[in-house]
Amino acid sequence: MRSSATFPYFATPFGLGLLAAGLLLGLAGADAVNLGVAATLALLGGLAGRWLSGRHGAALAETTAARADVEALTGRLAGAQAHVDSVLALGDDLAPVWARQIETGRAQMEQAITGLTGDFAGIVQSLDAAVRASSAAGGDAGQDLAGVFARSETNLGRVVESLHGAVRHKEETMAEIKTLLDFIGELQQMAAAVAGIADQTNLLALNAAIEAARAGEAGRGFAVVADEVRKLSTLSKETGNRISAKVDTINTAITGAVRAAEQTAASDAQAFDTAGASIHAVLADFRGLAEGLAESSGILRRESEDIQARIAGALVQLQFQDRVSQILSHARDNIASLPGYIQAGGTDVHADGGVRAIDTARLLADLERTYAMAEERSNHDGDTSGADDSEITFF
Amino acid sequence: MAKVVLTVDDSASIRQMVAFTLKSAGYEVVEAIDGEDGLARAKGRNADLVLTDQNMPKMVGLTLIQTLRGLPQYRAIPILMLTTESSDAMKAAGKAAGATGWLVKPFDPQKLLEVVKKVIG
Repeated sequence: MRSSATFPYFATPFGLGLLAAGLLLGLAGADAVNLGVAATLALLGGLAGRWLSGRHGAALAETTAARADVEALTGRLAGAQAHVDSVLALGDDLAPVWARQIETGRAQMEQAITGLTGDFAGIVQSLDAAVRASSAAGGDAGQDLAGVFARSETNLGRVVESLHGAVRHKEETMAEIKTLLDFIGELQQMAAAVAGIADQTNLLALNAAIEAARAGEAGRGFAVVADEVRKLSTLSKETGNRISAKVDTINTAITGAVRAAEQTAASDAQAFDTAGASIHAVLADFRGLAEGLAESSGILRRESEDIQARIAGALVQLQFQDRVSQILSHARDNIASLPGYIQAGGTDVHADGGVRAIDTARLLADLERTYAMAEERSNHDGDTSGADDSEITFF
Repeated sequence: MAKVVLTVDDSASIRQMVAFTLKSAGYEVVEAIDGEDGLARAKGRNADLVLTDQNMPKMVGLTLIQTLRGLPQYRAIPILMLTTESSDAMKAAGKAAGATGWLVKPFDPQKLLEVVKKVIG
């Protein structure tokens, strides 16, 4: 291919040399001089052909090399165009996706932390309500409860004491009633004395009647008196006997009552002792219960205070969401503005084929302007040591 | 009569924490979701204290403070900035706008209560 392409460049000068040599020999004759000149012409034609052929080959090689360079450059240009297109796609397609993903993550975190904070606040409120209820039942009011029990114990002690007093009073009454039995004896003696006086009176009346009869008519009136006295003595004796019988009845009744009272007194005292012991036992149980309640309430209150303190700490920690949300928002907004910056460079590619560098410095400066926290600024400068924020400042 | 605290923050969780902390101490808390909302609520209900974030949509905290200071009923009311901003430049801007004090988030609920008690009792 290459030899056929170079052939005319060699053959043409060489042919012209031969033609000139032939014409010279034909027109001027073939003497020694002409032969020499003709040979020289033919030789010059051959040399010129070879030189031309060489030049053509070199030019051809240069052309081929230049074509290869052009093809290489075209390939690189296509690569650069593809790169520019991909950067544009990065801005148009990828950056909004990044921004949306960051926003979704930020929003989900905010929602979760808000829910978590609400739950923690609810726990603290429930705990608070439980502790208040417990305190009312046995905590702070435990002292009052103990006071109530102490007062109840005193009052019930008084009741038991008054019951004992009633028993003692009953015993005293019985003792007084017993003393009546002594009077019964005296009454019996008095009744017997009345009967004795009646007998003597009767005897006296009988003697008076005898004396009256002996006096005759003069003693008739006295006999009537003596008879009346005898009747009265009989009546007195009967009355004395009835008194004696009544005193016996009373004696039996009082003796029976005293015996019955003596029998119930022992069981009453035992019942009151049992009641007193039961009251003390019940009060002791209640006191133990109240003290246990007060103690458990105290434990509940202390534990609740501990939990509330821990939750307060958790609420401080949960505020990381606000900081993270701001960092993510700033990153999101900056990424969302990325396509605009890339397009500003890419527009020129399509307009005049030129490429302008993306203004990264401006993009970074815009990002820096949005910062709210010291750690954002530290991160921006590549310093990850964090910042020491002073918490409270009064102006 | 409970003292009224207006808390202005675009973060729902922060509003919730502030409200929970102050309500548990007996304060009445009014919540606003950004500067504009805060201004409207401040006009609707006279607050004894305003707690505001700085970076919020629609109206930032510094603008809210300046606007509130222009209202006769908020000329002498304490206004505290509760924000993640901690730079001296921002604090100076806050002081210039009329803020009473500057609290950097995250806040300790107990310390917030102490500050509020110190300012409005």
